[in-house]
Amino acid sequence: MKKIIFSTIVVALGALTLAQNQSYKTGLEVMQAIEDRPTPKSSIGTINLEIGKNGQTLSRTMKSWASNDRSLVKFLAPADIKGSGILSIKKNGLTETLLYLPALGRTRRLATGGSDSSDCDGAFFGSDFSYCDLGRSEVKDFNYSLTSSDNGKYTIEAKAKKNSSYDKIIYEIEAKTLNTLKTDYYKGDKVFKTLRALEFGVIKGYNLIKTLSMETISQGSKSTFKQTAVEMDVEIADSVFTERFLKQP
Amino acid sequence: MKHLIEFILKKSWLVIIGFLVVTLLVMSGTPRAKISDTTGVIQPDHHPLLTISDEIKKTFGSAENIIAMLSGDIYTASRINELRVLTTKLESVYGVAKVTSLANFSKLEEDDGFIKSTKLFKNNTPTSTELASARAYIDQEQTRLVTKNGQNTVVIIEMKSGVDQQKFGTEVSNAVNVGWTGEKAMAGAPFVIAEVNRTLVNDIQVVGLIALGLILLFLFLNFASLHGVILPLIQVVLGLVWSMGLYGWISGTFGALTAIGIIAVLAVGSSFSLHLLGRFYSELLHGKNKADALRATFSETAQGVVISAIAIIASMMTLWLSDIGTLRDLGTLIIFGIIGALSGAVFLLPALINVLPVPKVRVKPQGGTLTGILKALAGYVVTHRTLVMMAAVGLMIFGLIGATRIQPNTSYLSFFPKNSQTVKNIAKVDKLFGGSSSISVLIEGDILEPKILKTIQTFTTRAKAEISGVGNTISISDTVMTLNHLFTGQRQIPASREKVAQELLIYQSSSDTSVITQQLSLNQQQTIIQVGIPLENTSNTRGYYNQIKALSEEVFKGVATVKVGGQALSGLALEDAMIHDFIISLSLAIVLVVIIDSFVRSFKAALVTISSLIMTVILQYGLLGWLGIDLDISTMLLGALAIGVGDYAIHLTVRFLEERRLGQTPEQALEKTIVTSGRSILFTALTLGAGFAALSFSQLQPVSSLGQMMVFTVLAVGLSSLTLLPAMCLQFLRDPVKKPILASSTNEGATL
Repeated sequence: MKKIIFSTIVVALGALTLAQNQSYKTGLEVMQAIEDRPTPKSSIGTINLEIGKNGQTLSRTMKSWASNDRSLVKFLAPADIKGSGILSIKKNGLTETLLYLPALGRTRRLATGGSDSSDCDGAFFGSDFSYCDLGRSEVKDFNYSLTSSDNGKYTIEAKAKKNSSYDKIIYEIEAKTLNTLKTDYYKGDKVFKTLRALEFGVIKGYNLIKTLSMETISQGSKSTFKQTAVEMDVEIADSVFTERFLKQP
Repeated sequence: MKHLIEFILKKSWLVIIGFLVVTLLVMSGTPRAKISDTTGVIQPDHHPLLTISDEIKKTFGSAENIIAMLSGDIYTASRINELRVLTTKLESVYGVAKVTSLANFSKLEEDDGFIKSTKLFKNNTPTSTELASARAYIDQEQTRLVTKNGQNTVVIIEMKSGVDQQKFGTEVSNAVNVGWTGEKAMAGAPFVIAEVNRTLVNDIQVVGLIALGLILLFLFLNFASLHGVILPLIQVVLGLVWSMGLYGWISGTFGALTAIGIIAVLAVGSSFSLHLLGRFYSELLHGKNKADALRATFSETAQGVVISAIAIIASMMTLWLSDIGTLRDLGTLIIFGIIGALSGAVFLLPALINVLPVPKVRVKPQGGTLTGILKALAGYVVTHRTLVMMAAVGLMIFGLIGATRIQPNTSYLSFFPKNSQTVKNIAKVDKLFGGSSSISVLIEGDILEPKILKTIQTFTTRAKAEISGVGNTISISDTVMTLNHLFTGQRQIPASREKVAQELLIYQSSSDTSVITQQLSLNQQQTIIQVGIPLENTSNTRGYYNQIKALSEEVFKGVATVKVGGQALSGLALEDAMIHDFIISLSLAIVLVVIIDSFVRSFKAALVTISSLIMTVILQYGLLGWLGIDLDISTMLLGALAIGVGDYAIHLTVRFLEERRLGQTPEQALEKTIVTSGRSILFTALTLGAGFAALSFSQLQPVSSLGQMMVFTVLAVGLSSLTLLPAMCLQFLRDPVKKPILASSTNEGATL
């Protein structure tokens, strides 16, 4: 259902082109228009992930490189995990992930991500975001219904055709830009998590969600994902997506 | 009172209609009352142990869960499939945060260079190879989800914070009962609370009806007329209606002790009618017409009833000082009921008597076997008063020795009879899975430091080895060692903080992170060690607490700071508060009753009367110790209830003083007092005893114990009022009282 590889993290959240002034009659049309927009071929950015619960916070900073089906994430802070990194490369429909922990001094292969929703349910580095939430959905995997198109916004209800982490997803999309402002993820008839786009930016003609938050309602926890120093459609050398670069401090 | 009774005689219908209108208004508040739904209701508002537990709950989530033990040959395809269906069903039940079972258990493993987090069972109907592999993994990892012989497994159902605990417990219990075809047993605080509340609703109906029936029976035996039964019935029912209605208007909560309040209102309320009707019938027997009999009754006996009611209200008001909300609520419920019953007795009863035909009075207080017995008793007391008092002193010593043997116990387990299925099931879960209850050790420091993690390991190893009864322990160290084993092949705490942090980082990116968040605070400065203990009485739990606290302080000295809390300790907090409340409420009730009685009689008379009551209270608690009945949230009320409802004894003292003021010798006054007032005192004791006896039918053990003890208490107060109190009157109240007391009766048959 979702293509979960690390290359999608930065791209999926940021690669939204400015929308055409066009009105859509169905939910499928809106979602197809979003999917059809061009996406950058590559991106580099710094991500600050802040997890908060009960007044306590945990902050992690990482740098990411993504190009096509390859991605590399390296942790910059806090100090005890600095230098740890994950390299993901998708080949022939399979994702191979290499993990490097400097304290152990060697790389390991990690089986994360896949084509099944059960493989992407896991939390993204302990945050409220799951790998599924950060991946790109394929329009063909859902049935959509446009429940409202008032006040310059489309409200679309999506239900997965096959197994999904959620029973229902409700998107609130700005009609003018096709930016998704808010997404409610349902389990049963209750909102389980809420995703909010908090800050937008435009880089090289692409709409970028610079800051977004995910709140897990039942647990009272909230994670904020902030992207800075983002570059799009830049040349990234193949040597970046190698075990050698992964192990470099 | 004189003006009041004249008004009632003139405007009887107006009083009746007015009273019913007020009653309807009061009654309309009843639906506002709530039924308690959380364990928190029966716990003190403040206690250091609860503060620590709240801190743990806030950081690491709700510690409340239900453990469902399922029996059968677990490692078969059909059972695993049944377990999978049940697990899925439970995940959608109200209030469920997480369900852990063999069916959804994930394992982290290395496979040909990969680190994978996979389900233990991938298929709905696992093959024999998959079953064997899963069994080997479970045995190796010692997850304790399944017993070694594969015949029992547990499903751990975690509760979300802030949900209706009773609803959660009930719905989980129903789902398990429907979803598992084999034998099952459940444990855990929400399950126990659901059981208590289920029983409570049943109790209020059953016990209330039994109490009413018994009270009416004794009223009939006393008055031998329908008139003497119906009127008190109307009055006590209205007392209950007022009690519930007023309680509803203040949005009160019905809890596990509500049945006690209802019975107290029924019993005490009926005693008001008993005194008033007794006097009224007596006046009729002596030739007075209905109106004059009512005037005599309400200008004299009604004062005694009002003072008794004030004494009971004062006694129950002492519960407002309690730190335990349930006790404060119980005090309020009883006070409202007494106000209702007293209003019914003072306003409605005379109005009803006035509009109804004159009843036929069949009982002659001056004749019959009972009078003969009372006369003989009076004669014995007059001639053997020293012996009677010495016997009382002997009983007090017996009681005091017994009181030293009292065992406090506020465990939720004590709500059920020892041989009940609930207790047996919990014991079974405790035995097979190492404790359904737990104590949490909160560690504060730089948790990822290997030194702290190793110390945690030392603590858990020593706790299991040195503290008998300690079951499973769960800590972040176990998780870190499992991870390190996966990464390095060595099951030990890594040597550096960085290694720990990085292994945890990867674990968080590839597995269920709730395991970490339940063990490690976000800022990595706090962690908890869950120490499994069996759900036992609070004395044993206190033993576990003291040992775990001492061991943790010793082991973590100079390494990290420790605090001990957890769900199991709420019983200890309740016990501490209960003992504090017990002393305060009992002593204050004694002082208040002496003061109130002194206002209308004499301080000396009040003191003599209360002394005889105190003797009964000592004997009551002595018996508690000798019979091995727990001092719990119900039985702690015995003293205050005895002082409150036992105040009818003062009627004897007053009568004795009246007779002395009329010029009788002490011996003559005593004999007349026992013969005249004795009957009312005896039937009051029997009626109150009958009411409280109904509590013995309660399915909740503390309520049942209280019922049995209150039967003893009111009968003992009755017996003491007819033996010890007369002997003390002869000894200490020989001289007539100078201070004006209640208006004396010139009527020989009068009773108070």
